[in-house]
Amino acid sequence: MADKDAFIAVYDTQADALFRFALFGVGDRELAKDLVSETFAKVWEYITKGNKTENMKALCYRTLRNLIVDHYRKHKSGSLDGLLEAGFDPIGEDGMDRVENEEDKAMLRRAIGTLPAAIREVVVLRYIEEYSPKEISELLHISQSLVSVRLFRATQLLKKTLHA
Amino acid sequence: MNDPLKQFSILKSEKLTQGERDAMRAKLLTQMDTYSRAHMQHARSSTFGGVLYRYKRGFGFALASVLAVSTGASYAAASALPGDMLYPVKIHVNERIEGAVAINPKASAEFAQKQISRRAFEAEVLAKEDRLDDVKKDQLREGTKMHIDAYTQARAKIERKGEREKVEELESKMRRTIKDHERAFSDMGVVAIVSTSTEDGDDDTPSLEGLRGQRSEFFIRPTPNKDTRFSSSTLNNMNREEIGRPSRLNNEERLRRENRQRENEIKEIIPAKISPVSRGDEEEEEAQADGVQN
Repeated sequence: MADKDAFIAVYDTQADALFRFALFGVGDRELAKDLVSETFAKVWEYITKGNKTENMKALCYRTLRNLIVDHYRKHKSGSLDGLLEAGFDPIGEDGMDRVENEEDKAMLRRAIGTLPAAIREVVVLRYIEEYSPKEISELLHISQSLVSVRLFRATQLLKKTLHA
Repeated sequence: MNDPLKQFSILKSEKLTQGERDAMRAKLLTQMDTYSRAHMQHARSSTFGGVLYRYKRGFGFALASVLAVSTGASYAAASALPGDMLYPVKIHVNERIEGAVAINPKASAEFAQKQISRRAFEAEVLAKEDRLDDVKKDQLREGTKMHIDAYTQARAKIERKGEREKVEELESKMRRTIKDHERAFSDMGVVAIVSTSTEDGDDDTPSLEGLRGQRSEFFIRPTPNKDTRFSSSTLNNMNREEIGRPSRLNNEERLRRENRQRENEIKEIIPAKISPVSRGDEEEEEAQADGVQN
């Protein structure tokens, strides 16, 4: 039987990081919360059925990533391109930013929003969550070289955007 | 700075608020409990050993009988009722196998509806045979509650996908189920409410996003005759009706009274539970507020 306390501990430690991953993936705070909630429910269902996982964190990220992809497939009108056109701002006007570098953060959020989805998720994990490329490759189940390629592209794209 | 992208780390401050985190945590705990309970029942019964385990407790003779007719037990269990020897086989083996093929939300919701209907039918048969005691009521109420939870979750998933036609189809079926078995639900302590929409949209019924008056609601009483959500007058009426009254006499009158009680309960419950303000109303209020400010 799955360990309920251990799973809740995973929630307590990972909820914010997964929320950020979803937030920068879909650009909508409420939707991001729903997706994270659904992620944990699905993962719990998975492990309760007796399935084993060596990396719970990776399972959570991959489940969430699949849900984000599903969301875009089902809501074609809400494509990433559409998000960019609308001005990607996952926090919104009621944001919680009360710090001096608020303008910088807004600029960075917009910059992240200009990235293609596949590159954006790697950037979020590398530069916000501060995972190593190896860890990212494990979390997303992609090769380490692909992670490096995406990070390189992200660097090029973001340098242009940030210095424009 | 060598790597300009490192400045993205400041976005780590984007977090759930404490309230959001707590709400999600509470929701997750509920989902975990619901799923674990369902899974444990399944695990106990999904293996033959599990079935044996259930039977060995106080049913040694029954165990031998079940072993002897094991190949036919599943078939024989199909018509079993609470209290019958084969009823656990029915709900923990037959129905689990049946439910295993419900792999999408709509199929899950339909299966849950079928199960709700089954429990109600069993209550009706037991009542007819004068065998519906408190223990069986509890058993049926718990079973019904589990399927109501499953139905509600499956319906919510369909709603989130925006598949309005499917929700309408499900709710139409659910209305029929509630209507067909209202007495049984009452006996079990399940208050089933069907909201009905009005053409002019002027209603205070629960509404889905953009879908008025299509939702069925259930409220489970802790015990068949106790529910703190009801007013004291309603409780008094219920108790007067239950105490010392021959249950099989004057059923029509009793049914009429129960219907009246249910209508009163609906009036009491819905305004407190559901905000009558629809999305359209909110927009209108915003427009009015803008007008005032301007």
